[in-house]
Amino acid sequence: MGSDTGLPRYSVAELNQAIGSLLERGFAPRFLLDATVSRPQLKKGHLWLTLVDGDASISAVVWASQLSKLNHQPQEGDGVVVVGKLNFWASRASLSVQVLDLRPSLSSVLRRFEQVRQRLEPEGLLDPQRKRPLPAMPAAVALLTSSPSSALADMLRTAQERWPAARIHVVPIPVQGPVEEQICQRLQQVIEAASGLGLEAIVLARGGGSREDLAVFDGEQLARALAASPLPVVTGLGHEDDTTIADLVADYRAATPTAAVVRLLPDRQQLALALEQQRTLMRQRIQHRLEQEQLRLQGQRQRWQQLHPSQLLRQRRQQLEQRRHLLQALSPQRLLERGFALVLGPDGRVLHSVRELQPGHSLQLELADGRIDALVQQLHPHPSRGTPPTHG
Amino acid sequence: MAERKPKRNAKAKAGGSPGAIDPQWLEEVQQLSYRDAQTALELTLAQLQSAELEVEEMAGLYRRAEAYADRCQAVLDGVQQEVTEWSN
Repeated sequence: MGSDTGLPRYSVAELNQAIGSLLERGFAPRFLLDATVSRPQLKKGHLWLTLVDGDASISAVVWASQLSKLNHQPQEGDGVVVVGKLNFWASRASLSVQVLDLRPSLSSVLRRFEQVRQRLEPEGLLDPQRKRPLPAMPAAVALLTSSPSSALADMLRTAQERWPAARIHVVPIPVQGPVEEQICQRLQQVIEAASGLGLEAIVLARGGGSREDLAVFDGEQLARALAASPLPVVTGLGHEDDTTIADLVADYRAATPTAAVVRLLPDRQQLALALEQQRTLMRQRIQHRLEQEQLRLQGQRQRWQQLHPSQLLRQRRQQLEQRRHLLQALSPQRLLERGFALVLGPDGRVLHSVRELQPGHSLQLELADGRIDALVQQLHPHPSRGTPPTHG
Repeated sequence: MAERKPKRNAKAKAGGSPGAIDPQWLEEVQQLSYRDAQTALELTLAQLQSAELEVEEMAGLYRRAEAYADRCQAVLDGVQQEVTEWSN
């Protein structure tokens, strides 16, 4: 029949083989596949799952040999990005995706981030008021990061440049994949050794990578371990725009690993400069104060000189002289010299009123240069004036 | 401090001139802090300027004021010397 129509004619095996050959030649050997995980099942050590996208689906398998190497163990409903290749079993014409690697998709990572954040927030673990001040000049710091790595090299170089006095204890940790448990264990070891090592702070760092690569730092267990740390924690995870749950729990979130070291360790050059400025300021202040005191003392010396006993005695003599003049001015003799006279009655007392006399009384008139004896002939009191008080 | 502070009204030794200073009092002045010497100087100057000043006390007060001023000057000179040494 086939030869009559000119159509190719296959046996089932031949057809399956032809399809397999076509796929092999016409399809990329490896590809990325965005999908959602559905019905993951372990069978004989292999993980079978269905990758879905709306109504479309395709079966997939992670061979046992590959499963342990995966950075992310897929769960039902996980958004994932799969690195895969097509597997075609010619005997059954069965097609599936062989998963070579698998990581959560960005949306999946962010969903998990949000879920963990919502669990921790009501407990106050993300409260800014929980954040502790960082030590000003830490003597020893634990650096939890992957080793070797360029991030570690940058941090060590920065630490050496800024504050070589600080002892940096590098604690290697895995930073990608399902390693949250391991990080927590290392963190616990650091905390237990902190007192003996004199640690004053912990840095948790990871350089570069995509946001999905930082997914391990969104773990709830790690967040709780960081929150329970008796030492202040500084994070420097990924890039400036990346924020993980660990960042939210940490006492200080630095944009990058290097920024974490910069924040934690003082800059010796800046401090030296500030110290020199303070020295100068101190010298200036002391000098200024000394000058002020010198001026004050000079003023007091001048006052002191003006208060020399000779000067004071001169003043007192002048005062005495002035009083002498006043005394002279007030002397009755001066009045007599000006033409006034003292009138003494018969009993020798000074008279103040004509009413003390009668015609025929004898008087004495005291002038500046002598005395006159006189007799009262007639009295003429002033009618409008009263009698002045008598003395004696 | 109060116990060490020389009595400002301390009289001259018997037999001395009215303005003579007791050497022991002078030694005590050398131990005064700058602040105490300053305060004593200011008080003594105020006494010298007072209208109530007894003539008999003029010379003694004047000499004491000089001793306080000298003590202040000595402290300032000492500190100035230290500062100069730091700066070099």
